[in-house]
Amino acid sequence: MRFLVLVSLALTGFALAESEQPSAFDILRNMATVRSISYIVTAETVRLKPQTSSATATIYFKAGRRRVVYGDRFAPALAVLDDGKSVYRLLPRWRVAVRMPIVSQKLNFDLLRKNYELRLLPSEQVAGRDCYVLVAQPKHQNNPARKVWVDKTHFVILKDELIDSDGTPIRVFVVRSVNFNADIDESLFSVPSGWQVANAPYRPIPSLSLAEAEKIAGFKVRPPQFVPEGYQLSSVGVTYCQHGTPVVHLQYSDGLNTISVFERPAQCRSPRGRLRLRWGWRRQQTCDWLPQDDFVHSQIVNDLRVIVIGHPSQPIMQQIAESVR
Amino acid sequence: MARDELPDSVLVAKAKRGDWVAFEQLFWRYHERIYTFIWHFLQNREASEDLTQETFVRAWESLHGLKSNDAFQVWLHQIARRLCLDALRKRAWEKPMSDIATYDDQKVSVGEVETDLEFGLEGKSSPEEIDPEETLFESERKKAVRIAVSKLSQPLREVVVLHYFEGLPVDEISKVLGVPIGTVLSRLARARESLRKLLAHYLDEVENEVNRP
Amino acid sequence: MKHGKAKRLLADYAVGRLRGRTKAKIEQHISECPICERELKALQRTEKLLKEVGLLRPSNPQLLLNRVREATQQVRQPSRQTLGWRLSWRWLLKPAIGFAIFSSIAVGAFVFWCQFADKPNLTISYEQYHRLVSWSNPLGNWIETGIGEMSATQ
Repeated sequence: MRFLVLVSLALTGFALAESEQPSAFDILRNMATVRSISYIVTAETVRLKPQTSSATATIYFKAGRRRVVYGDRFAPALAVLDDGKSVYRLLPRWRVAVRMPIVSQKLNFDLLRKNYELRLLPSEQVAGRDCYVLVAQPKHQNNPARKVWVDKTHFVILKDELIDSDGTPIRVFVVRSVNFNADIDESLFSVPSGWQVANAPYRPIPSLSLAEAEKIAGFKVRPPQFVPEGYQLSSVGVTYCQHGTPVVHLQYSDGLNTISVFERPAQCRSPRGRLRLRWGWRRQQTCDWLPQDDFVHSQIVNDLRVIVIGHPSQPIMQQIAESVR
Repeated sequence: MARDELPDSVLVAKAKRGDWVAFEQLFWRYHERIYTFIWHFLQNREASEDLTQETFVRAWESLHGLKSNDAFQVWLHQIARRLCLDALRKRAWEKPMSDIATYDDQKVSVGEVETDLEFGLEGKSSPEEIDPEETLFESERKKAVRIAVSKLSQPLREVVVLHYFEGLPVDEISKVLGVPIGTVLSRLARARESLRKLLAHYLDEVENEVNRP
Repeated sequence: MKHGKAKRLLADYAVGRLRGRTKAKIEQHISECPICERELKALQRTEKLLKEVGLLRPSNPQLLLNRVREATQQVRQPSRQTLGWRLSWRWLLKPAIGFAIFSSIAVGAFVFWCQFADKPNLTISYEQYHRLVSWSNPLGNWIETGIGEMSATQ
């Protein structure tokens, strides 16, 4: 750690001496390490491909803890809370917090450097703040490019664009207003008292190998033979569908973007799930809770149900799913 | 064959086609039997006449429901019996038990002539043929028998009325009541035993008549 | 046959209910027993008495017939089922009404319960899982975590 800091300081000093501007990697490093600030941000996310959808979110940040409130600020539809140890989905209607322990996945600079060429463009202003503009150009064709606007003082992303290989945006994240060093109530970063905390059926083990995942899940996992160029397996996890059938999650990353491949036995094996009568709300719940979006591809390959989620186009996701045989 | 002598099945077939005259023939053939049958349930002239009317009205309305035209008599009695049972149930429901008028409460007893009952002069076609003295005498005896019968329990009473008063054969009675023939015979035997005791006084009269040359 | 048994069976014999050996035995007994002979005669006389009673006559049969005709003219001859229902199913009416009320209350209560027995979804969708894995990655797409669920609930 000390070595890393020394190296980064040396690099920063060298870069400043050369052009009085930090390099793109310095900016990324600063972004990854910035912690001791607090801010309130109102942002808008627009997803343009394959279908248009948008959401407004308010993000509260204080010393590494986060609270993201989706929807109108006065009538929030959903809140995600990160208290530094776990991430919770807050459901105000039932006063329940669903705990989702997460894998602490850091930025992989080597992979990023291997697959992308980082460049710094002239500064721009976003929400009234001066920003560095970083562009990550993919070295492999068909992979999307990324353009990020980073606040010069606090190293916070204020604008973020994911751009398809044909130059059109896939997703745009824009901060509309930002308030740095705001005074934020501590209670916002903990589960409200009196709420019930429930654990999501999720077993995240960061260093899980494929063999261990197979042992937990109880079926033979077959990784896809094809993934887009530059992607490599970054983590393996096990979760459970709501009827109790284990699902193996393979995550592929190219340093910037991720593709998830979920595999489970084609037949949901839990007898409870099939025999129990479900009325009303419960009856409508299928085994897989999938959004009605095109960025999800689901199909049965031999005896496995394969679900691919990511930004690539449908034909590529289908190709990934079919390569599971 | 005269119209009066047409069998039930023919008249029923005609009535089913909407022939009111045929139904009238059936009415004339059975109205006294039905009235007698109902009277021994209710023991009240007006109510019995009303139910007799209701029985024939229902018979007309539901003639299509009669499967076998030969079984008209049995079927008609079944309708009458159900109506009587309904009426008795309704009466028990509407009035407390003490209010139900019994035969004795209507101040009709053996030997008293003035009653609510109007017994017809059966068996004689015209008044001229009836010996007034005999009629008077017989009428009193008949009343005594009816009173004795009315003291029987309902299951015994209905078989007596159907068999002795209406002259229905035992197998038809079993169809009307929906019980086996053996049960009908057993009830007849029990009824006759009881009546033999109730009518002991009149049996001697009968014996004297028999012995008379 | 003993006298006591014969006396008990006498009424059955008189209505012709006895058959075969029992009938022969009781006839034998009657021929020998003057008491039973007298009793049998009394029963036969009772039958004679009953048979001569005959039928009653309504006060005015013609009027009765007219009333029947008037009543039937108001109602057309109904279909096959009507009387059958009236006579054989009428007793079922009250239990049926009771059952209908009870079952409608039960169904209402069940529907009411279903409406409010809504339970939270404690699982994570695949999409949320996909986003959450990059939660602590500053360049990850964690901000989209709630979008899928929001569009699903709206």
